[in-house]
Amino acid sequence: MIRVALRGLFSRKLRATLTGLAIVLGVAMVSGSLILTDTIGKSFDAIFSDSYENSDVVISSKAATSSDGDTGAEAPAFPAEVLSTVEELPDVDAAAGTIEDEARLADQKGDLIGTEGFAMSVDPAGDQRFNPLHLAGGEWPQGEEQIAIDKAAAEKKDLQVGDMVGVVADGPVRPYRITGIVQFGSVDSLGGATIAVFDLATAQQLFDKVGKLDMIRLAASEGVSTSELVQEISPLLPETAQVQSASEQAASDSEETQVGIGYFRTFLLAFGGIALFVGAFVIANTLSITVAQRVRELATLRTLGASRRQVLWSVVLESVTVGLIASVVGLFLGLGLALGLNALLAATGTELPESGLVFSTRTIVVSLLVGTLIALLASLRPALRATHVPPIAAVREGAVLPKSRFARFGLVTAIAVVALAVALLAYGVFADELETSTRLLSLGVGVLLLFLGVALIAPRLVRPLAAVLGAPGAHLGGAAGRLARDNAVRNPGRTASTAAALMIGVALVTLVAVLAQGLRTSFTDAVDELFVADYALTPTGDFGAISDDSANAVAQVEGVTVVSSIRTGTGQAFGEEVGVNGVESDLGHVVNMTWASGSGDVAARLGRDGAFVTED
Amino acid sequence: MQTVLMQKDRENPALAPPVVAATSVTRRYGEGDTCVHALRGVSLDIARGKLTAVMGPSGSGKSTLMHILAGLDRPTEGEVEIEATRITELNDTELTKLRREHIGFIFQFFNLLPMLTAEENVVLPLNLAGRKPDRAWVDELTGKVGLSDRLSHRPAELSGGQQQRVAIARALVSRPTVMFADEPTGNLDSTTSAEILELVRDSVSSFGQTTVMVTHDPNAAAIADRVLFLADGRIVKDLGRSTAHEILEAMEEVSAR
Repeated sequence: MIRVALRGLFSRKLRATLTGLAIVLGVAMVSGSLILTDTIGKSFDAIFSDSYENSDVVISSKAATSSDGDTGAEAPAFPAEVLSTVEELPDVDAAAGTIEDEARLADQKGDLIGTEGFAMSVDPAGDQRFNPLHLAGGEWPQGEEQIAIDKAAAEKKDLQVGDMVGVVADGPVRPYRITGIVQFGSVDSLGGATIAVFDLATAQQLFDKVGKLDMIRLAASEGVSTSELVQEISPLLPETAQVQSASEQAASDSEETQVGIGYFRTFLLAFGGIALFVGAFVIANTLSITVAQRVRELATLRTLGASRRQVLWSVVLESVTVGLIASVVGLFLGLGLALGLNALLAATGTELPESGLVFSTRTIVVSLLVGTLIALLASLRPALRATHVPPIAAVREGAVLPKSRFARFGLVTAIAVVALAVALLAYGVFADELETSTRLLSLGVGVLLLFLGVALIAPRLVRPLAAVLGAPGAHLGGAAGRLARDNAVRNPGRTASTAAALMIGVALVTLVAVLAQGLRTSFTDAVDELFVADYALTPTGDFGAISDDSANAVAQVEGVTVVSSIRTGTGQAFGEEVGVNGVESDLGHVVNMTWASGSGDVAARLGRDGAFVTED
Repeated sequence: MQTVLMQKDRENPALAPPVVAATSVTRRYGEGDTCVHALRGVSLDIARGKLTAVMGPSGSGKSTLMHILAGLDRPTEGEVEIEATRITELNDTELTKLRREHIGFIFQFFNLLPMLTAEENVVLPLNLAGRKPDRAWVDELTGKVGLSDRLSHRPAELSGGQQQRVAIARALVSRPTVMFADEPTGNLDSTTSAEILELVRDSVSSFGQTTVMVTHDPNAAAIADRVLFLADGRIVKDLGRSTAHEILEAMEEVSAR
């Protein structure tokens, strides 16, 4: 029987290939998404754990709020005396303090290099065991005119030891001479991010942190456990500093990236899921047609002694084989897809840290399982129908499949499914105060059910639709036109399920287009409404700020009437984290606000301790 | 009780029970005004080791009778027994078992599986039943039907006559209690028909294969040990071994009534 199924499949090679294609694409998207996000995740993890190599415990600055970065607010540095305090502890074997901040590199033409820039301090004379960087050429920078930069940036801009490079920190571009080329831990590049390395004093000066440190890495003395050391140091620290084991520190550093990667992964997987959903439709459809065409063959098998179960398995096996082969192809296509996406991201400037593609066992298992299971599920209904082929069909001319037992419940089921789908969609759209995940789930399941419901009802719509749509064809096309119309009507189920795959495809394109348009419109609308100003000056990259000099410089430009500076950050208020903005008195000239109470001159009356809040 | 009796009786050849027995079989299709009476009460016994032909004009119910005897269709009333098993009461699983052990089929349109080779087609009933083919028996069969050099060919590469030979070997391979042949020459030219009929006759004679053959061809019925004539859903004539001429005359008589 296995042979019958497999040979049969082989004799319908083209059809099997086309059927499998849908699964191949779906699985490729799934495996590609997993490989890509795993790779991104692993390389970030590598960066963060490399960062604390040889350290047992890390003291870092503590922000009042947890989400630094998003709003440009950065945890304040802590006093450098902390280093000398902890160094004297007998349980501390060694300690090293650094400044870790953000600074962008600029080439000779003044163009910025990379998409982000990290800055670190080193102590050229000191112990290098905590230093996550190592020299690939030249030597460590010393003094206020020297810098070391990362190898990727140096190679990209063809910079050598001895060349000059610009650095943008909080102020205007300043030139430094390159004394060394460095590499970070085990990775070749930090993606689009560059590294600028200075000696401690220069870094403190540059980032306005004289007498302060951002981080201290410590090694415990022999026989002292990490947790003991953490407990010992904790009470000694000022309020703006915290102590954690190195692994905790690495984990909390990577947390934010991992969450972001998680969203990215879900987003990508959703597309794979949709592709597989379409694939299931295609498989179920093709198998139904195959079964209908093979009625005589299946009946013959029954007369020769095949049991219902054997017939069932022959159809399921055929589908599972297609599913499995397609999954294997899809898995490797996904590998290519991940490479391609990686290249695409690199080309658009979002270069990812390189440490080789991660092809995990989980990716293999999930991809193969998902593709095969989808094929299995899709084959169940056609396979069950195949078992209902009566043996007597072997001796009858033009035998057709008996109607499914559930056929008479078809309309009721279809209407029930559509009703449920509409209810879920309405709940998702209109219900107040839902968790985002509940809302999305309700919408997602609703959409899937709607597809199913429409697909179930569709066979009943074929006849009236074909009568209307086929009318011109039948009139103009003569015999051929009438044949076409009658063919569409002859097996409404087949016509409908063929159309279903197309339906899903068109729906997808519409969805993406509507979503993109909606996002863009609501965003531009919001910005247009809020900003009355003609121009906005923003810092490059995600972090950092613009120096006051820039505002002053812009104010000098002819034609500029008002310049109002805004500083954003995060703070604790009303028991939660809130965005905080520092504004100038002439805010009302550049930002359009509606005052629920107070008036447009509130901004001018704030003074040093005033504040205003949004209505909700 | 009845079964035990049958077993005992079988030891005595004179009282040998029929291989297939039908009692007052009727078959109606549809209801009320549109009701069609395909069989109006047919009783018959099929003797072991004999070739029985069922003849009759179109619509006489001969095909329906064979379908019911072979368990492909169920009678509206009446009973059918094969080897003392009431097949009219069996469920689908039991019918599958019955087909594996007791029934072989030859079809008008051969019904070979197109993706399998001739040899694979021949042993398919054994594979489906999970039995291992007896090599010597398969070789003997394929030799007898004259296909030894065509075993690796696909049905599409064989002529109609060759395909029907494969089908005959397939029907015989599980040594069924009874072999049913549904118009086995209906789709073949006269020369090939003669060869196929010779093969059917030969399997009955050399293997003692009980066979029921439905045909409307007097030449085909002429190889039978017994010829039953159906008209309007009833058996109207029952002849022993007859010539094609005698059968043709009987046919005309039956049709004229």
